[in-house]
Amino acid sequence: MKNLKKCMVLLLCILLITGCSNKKGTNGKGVNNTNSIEKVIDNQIANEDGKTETTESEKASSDVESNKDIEDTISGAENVRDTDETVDYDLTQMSSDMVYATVYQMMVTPEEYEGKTFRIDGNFYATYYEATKKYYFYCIIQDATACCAQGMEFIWDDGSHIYPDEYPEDNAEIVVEGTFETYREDGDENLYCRLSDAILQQKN
Amino acid sequence: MEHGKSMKEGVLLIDKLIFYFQYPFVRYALIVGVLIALCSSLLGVTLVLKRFSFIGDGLSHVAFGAMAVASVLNFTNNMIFILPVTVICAVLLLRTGQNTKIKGDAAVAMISVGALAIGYLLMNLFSTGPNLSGDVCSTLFGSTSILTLTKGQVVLCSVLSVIVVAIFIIFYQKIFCVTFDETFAKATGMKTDFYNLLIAVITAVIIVLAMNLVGSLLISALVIFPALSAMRVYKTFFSVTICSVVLSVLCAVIGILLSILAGTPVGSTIVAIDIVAFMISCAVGKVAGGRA
Repeated sequence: MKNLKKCMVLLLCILLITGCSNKKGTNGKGVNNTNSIEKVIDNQIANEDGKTETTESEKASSDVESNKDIEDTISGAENVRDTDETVDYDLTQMSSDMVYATVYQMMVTPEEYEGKTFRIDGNFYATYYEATKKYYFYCIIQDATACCAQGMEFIWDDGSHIYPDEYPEDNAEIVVEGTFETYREDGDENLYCRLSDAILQQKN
Repeated sequence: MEHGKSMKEGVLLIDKLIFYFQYPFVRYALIVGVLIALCSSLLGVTLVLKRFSFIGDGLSHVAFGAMAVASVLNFTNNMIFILPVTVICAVLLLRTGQNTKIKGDAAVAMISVGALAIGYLLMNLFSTGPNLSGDVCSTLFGSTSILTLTKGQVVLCSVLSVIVVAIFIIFYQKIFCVTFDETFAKATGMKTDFYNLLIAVITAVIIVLAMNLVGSLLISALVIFPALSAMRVYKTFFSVTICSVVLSVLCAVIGILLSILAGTPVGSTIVAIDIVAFMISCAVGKVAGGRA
């Protein structure tokens, strides 16, 4: 009976410890900012529409040679991480708690971080905003509990790269290095943050 | 060779900690974490001895509900709404048994789940943030909230903590009497109702503060574990209180540092350390044979 009690206590401890595990790989959970079934359905429909648009644009601008060039560009930048040590904040070297907290601080007090260089890693995510008729690109960073994902917008080089041909697929693991800046869209009072002149690397 | 390797790893970890401490939010987290751990353990002994261990859980759910209402009403400073609501509920709950139709644990359970359900419902219906699941998760489990504190929140937390500690020291004898024999204390002319009210108010303040550290679902652990651990080793009220404070602060510091280094959720890491401390205390208590 005593042994049984000890086993139960041990099992409970294991369950408690494993219950706190850092569950990665729940891609898209943080991106999915919905709170009702209706919104989930709307998002799914929007995603499907996006895919259709993508297929059409792919047909129009598909060029095998340019695709090869792009792959070279992405893979060619892979060495940057090892050689360049000039970034002010290297979030790739931080624990997930620290990354989350740093990105949070960047969003809350952007003026303190403006002009600083950052290196971040996470999952690639692109979205089309109807009002500005532009694509926006994000590096999604998960936190320790994998529930509070944050997206950092970035502009790859000077923004001349064509989506989707030159960009990685959604949810691809990427490393982005760029300068932090704030900006406003025309007719929009909100202040937005992004990494400009960014170097984009796709992880293997 | 092995020794040299582990030494190198240790130095690397210390270097990493020093690097992390350059960030103000890490320093804030440690200050607030220590203060909350100190306050919660001070009152934990009283609450455990008065059989109010579960009240922390109930009140934290009330605080969650109040936070949801404050978010819906777009309060810039949630604290001005959460604190009074939690204090009122604490007073109501700790006064149960005095001419109330719904008694003790039933009242705690009712208010606890009711506030939790209403809070989540309101957040769902009138969500103001873009990431509802993130907001709820962060509030319930603390997540990384402790690392996102502003300077103003740190100051508020420090002031409230100083007030809580001061009240506990000033009214130590009275709290001691009310904790062990309320009936006798009342018979000797002590205003027990006032001191119960004081305990209720302090409990509510600690609960609201601790929401930032461990989240509303884990607050009870911060109140109960250090007190219970200390009771395994020591027997007098004073020594149990001191031991409880030391254990709580130690566990909070280790938990925060460990979670920052390993990237684990802060709240649950602290509670896991509290559980380990409780187990060690049990073992020490058995070996020492319950010395006073």
